[in-house]
Amino acid sequence: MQTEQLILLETFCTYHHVEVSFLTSLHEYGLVEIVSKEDLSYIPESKVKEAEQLVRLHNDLELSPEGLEIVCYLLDQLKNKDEELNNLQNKLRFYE
Amino acid sequence: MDFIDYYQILGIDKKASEEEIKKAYRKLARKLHPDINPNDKEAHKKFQQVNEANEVLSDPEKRKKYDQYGKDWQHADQFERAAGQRQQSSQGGQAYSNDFGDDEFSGFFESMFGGGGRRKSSQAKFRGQDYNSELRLSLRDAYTTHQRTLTINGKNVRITIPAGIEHGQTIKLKGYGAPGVNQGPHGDLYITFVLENDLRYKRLGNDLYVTEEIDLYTAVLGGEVTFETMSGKLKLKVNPETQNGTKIRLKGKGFPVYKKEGAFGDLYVTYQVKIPTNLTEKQQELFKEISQLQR
Repeated sequence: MQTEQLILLETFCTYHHVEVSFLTSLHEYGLVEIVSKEDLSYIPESKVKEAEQLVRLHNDLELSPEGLEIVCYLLDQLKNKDEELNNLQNKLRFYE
Repeated sequence: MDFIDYYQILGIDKKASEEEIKKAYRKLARKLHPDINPNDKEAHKKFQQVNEANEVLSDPEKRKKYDQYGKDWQHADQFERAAGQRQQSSQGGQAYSNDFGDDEFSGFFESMFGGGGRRKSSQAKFRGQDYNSELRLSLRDAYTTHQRTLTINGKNVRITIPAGIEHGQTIKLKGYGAPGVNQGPHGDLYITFVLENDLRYKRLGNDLYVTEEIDLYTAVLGGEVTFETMSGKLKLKVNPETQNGTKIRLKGKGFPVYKKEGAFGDLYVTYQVKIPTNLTEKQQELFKEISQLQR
């Protein structure tokens, strides 16, 4: 069975100088995965990168969770479009 | 190193107020932020400059120094001495700075404010910058699992490229990015593969397409042809009366499926019938004979 490393939410927030409430609100928007175990909250290590990205956007651009939700949605769309473009370019290469 | 006009970078006047600097910085940061422009290296570079400009101009002490020595800083001995005495900044700032690794600030910035000019954030550990790189492969390279040695920041890294990699596909090498801050983890290295077109084969997904010439006599009477494939020679039976442009499918003779050992796409062979040239008199007579039989 594979085990996943968990990062204590408070530790993450201390490192990144953000309030725990900010992370929990991101969790409520479905933007960050938070796992609860024995009354403590954690972020799975595999999700830390995504959480850090949101914290950066929040700190640097002063985006609220609502704004971050829109940004994430648009970035997802951009990623999908990039993949679609790549697939189409591969098809096009066939006819070149 | 070149003089960098921080005011120009932020698009503000030299007399700009703190509020105007802040406003200009925010506007540009929103536009150029690396997390908003994940694949835009130019935006990353510009953001770095904007960040650096803001770092200096939003700090009254640094701004004063910059305004004072600005363009002529490199000739100012006095400035050099002052630079050595400068106190280290301890202003917050964090994660995105790691996105630029060692080159976070320009040489100009370093000269003005020294290494201490870099923002340091207490003892927090931060993940290092992710590196992005491109690797060009021929279609034949991508056909087999093979190893390549890459030089990343002066270090040789040997990577295994699995057979079947696609054009535009990106793989992640965990921990091969820039070192973290305060013993934070290394970033990752993302390698995007660029597959060059092959003159003989065309690839669509895991299928390969090739055009093979057969002579007129084999096409008419049937026979066997042998041709080279990526995995070796292949002998094919040609049915009598094979038409020009006939396409046959050879199951499992195409391109390897990425990370699925033993799985291959199909190979499509299109026969191109070659009309004989420089016929002898005898051959011409025989063709005429055949032609008359058709009437």
